Amino acid sequence: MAKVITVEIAPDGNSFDVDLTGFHGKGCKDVLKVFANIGGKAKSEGTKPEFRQDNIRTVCK
Amino acid sequence: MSAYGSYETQFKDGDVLCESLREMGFSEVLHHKTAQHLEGYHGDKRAQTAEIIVPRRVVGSASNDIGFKRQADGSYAAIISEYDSSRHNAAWMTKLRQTYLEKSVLKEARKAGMKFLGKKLDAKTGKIKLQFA
Repeated sequence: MAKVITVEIAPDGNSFDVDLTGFHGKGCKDVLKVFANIGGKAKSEGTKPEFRQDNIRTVCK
Repeated sequence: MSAYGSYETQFKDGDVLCESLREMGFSEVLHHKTAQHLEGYHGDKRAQTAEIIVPRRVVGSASNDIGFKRQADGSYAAIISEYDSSRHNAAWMTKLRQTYLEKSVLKEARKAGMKFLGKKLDAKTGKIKLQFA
């Protein structure tokens, strides 16, 4: 899977999320550091289940 | 599993804030090294000071200067008079924060050598999505 960085800006402009797909734990901290400089405070950092096309198909069955 | 970070918005980059204000329609935005007094609609000096000032002549007729004052933590806080806050209200601040964030993200990504893939507006959630490789 190709590495893709998605930045989602909240509708109220108060916060933004950075989602890293395809990194497999490598270089994540460096990327997050780039965007952490923009926002003043990190609300949270960590991992979450990857959102894949397969998951949607499973739910729809 | 994918890694993620979630951050709160603060106006920290004065240059990006000035650029965002220009994009919001102000033809003139002043960025001073030291805080200057804001002007009222009569041309009177107000007690409030700010480093980033949108002069009243470009804010609107009978308007006061709009200022952004640098705080101890390095962020900028808006100073908007009661009169001007009817037009430059919460909805206006929301748009400014979004514009600022978008410009900041693009600036930092460019600096870090990321390739911009595109921008999408999620009609359901109202979120702006920026993708990079």
